[in-house]
Amino acid sequence: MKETNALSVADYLATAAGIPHPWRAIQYRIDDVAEILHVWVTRQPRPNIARKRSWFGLGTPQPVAETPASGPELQWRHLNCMRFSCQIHTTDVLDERHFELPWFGQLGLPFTNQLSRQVFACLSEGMEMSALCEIFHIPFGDMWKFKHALDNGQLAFEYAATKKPNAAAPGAAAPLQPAAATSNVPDIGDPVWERIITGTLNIHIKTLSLQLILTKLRQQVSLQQSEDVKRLKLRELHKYVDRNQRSLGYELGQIKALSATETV
Amino acid sequence: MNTLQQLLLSSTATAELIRSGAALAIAGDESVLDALPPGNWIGGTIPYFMGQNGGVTTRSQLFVTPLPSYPGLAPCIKQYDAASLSQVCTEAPANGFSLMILPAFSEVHLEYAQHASLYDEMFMKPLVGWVSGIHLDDMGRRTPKVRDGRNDALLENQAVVMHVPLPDNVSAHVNIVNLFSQGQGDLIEFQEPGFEASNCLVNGKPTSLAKYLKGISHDTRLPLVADYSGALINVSLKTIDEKRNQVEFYGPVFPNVAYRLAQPFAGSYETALDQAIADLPERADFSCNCVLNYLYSELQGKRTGHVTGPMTFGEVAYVLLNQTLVHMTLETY
Repeated sequence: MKETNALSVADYLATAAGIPHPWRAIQYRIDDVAEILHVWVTRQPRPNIARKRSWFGLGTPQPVAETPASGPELQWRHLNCMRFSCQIHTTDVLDERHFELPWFGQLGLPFTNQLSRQVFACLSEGMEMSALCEIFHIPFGDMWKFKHALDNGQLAFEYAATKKPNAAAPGAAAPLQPAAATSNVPDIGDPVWERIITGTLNIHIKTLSLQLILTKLRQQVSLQQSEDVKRLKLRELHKYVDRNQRSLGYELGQIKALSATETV
Repeated sequence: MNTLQQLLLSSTATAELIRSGAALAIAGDESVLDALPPGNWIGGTIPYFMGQNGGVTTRSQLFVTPLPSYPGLAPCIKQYDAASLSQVCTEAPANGFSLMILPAFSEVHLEYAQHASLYDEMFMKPLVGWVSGIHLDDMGRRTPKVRDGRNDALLENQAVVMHVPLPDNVSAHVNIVNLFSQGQGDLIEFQEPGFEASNCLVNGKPTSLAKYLKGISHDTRLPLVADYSGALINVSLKTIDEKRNQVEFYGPVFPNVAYRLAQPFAGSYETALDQAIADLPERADFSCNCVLNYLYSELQGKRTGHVTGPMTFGEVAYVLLNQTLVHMTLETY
């Protein structure tokens, strides 16, 4: 493990992490066992270039230690730095608005806002949480904490999908097939799903797991009224129905009939 | 696969089954559970059962649920603590089911009760189970425990899970039977999740829940009931402390959920249940019921149709349930 106060390197790291003035990195530590780069960030002015001067400017210049910040240490997982993961720390006392800065995160949540947005975008594109953890080297517990906050409306993101419909993202589950091809399930683009998930269309449900998942998804969609969240939840519902279609004959019959009625 | 039925057995017969190498889920009082030989099984403490001859409280017998094991598809046992429990569904087989036992009043129990519905892959794969407990005479002297049969130790703060893979042509189907339904009374909502509440909204108006329940002389055997798209989910009432302005529950309440107090079912529990389970397949590959139903409806010595199983401190059919019968069957296509 290497530890250093070399400011020039810390400055480069701050630049790479997208941290602009007046924020700056004051310290970094490379944990090459865990492959984590730790960067400490502050907005306090640089005291280390000041020099204690003796009377009349005489005497030997003395380096001054960084002014210790007074808050508790906060930290968030940031975007990866090459093959290392990156952890941003601060002991500054942050104002409410500082928690919205891209290189910081929300209190109690594991990711910086920038990483949160990236993870949200991947989830929106249909990537599985387990695949995300694998690719980004994120502990599952942290991913779960993030998803929990997302599902409870503690986080709000907007994301414009860039990929074509039905194109699988890396790590995504089996691609969703159009209804007419191999699946018995209406395509994810069918308006019937949106009407079901928003509660404007109700079917009679006998299957316990569908009753429970639909209630959860409807709650989440109503709590956070964003098109992106709705799209994410539609995918989840579609994936559930697609995977369990053998057990959902009664409900799927109704969904298909409604889908056919709407497209006539 | 197995053709054995779940049964209430002596500890000798149970030990023989374990030594045969069968994958099992076992319920029994701590003393007998602790004495079982190691093997391919998971277990939890409870002395209340609906056996093949009716309701029984026993410290000497064990309720044994044989789990299917198909060639090349061996069940596997996993332990989870509160920090890893969120992975229970992602680690479940793609086609199969998972049977989980959680010790009551533990951190892992609270974690599951409050967050299970948000776990990744939850509801995608069948998950059933129960919450272990103790004899009510042992309250304050013993704690609910579980055991991973591969080891000797009884665990107080781990969930044990048997993940059971199934062949492609077999599916597990999970059903619940809840005799309670929402009454015609007031709409009750909560602003915070938890196992206890001081205040709630009654028809949208902030109200002390304890005062409200006392005010209407509510029978605490009747739970709060929420309608989850047709699935009626209970939250059972534990204590009402008007002085401390606090109501405790056996399961958590959640915000953004509309609850109403249950209306009593007509007739006796066993008669009503017999009618309610008429559509269920007679043979259950797993079933359990709630100790509150056992106690409140005085089921000792009575039969509840063809359904047997441990009478538990909480039931799991994906999420944690109270006062509900859980029933799982395997269907071949």
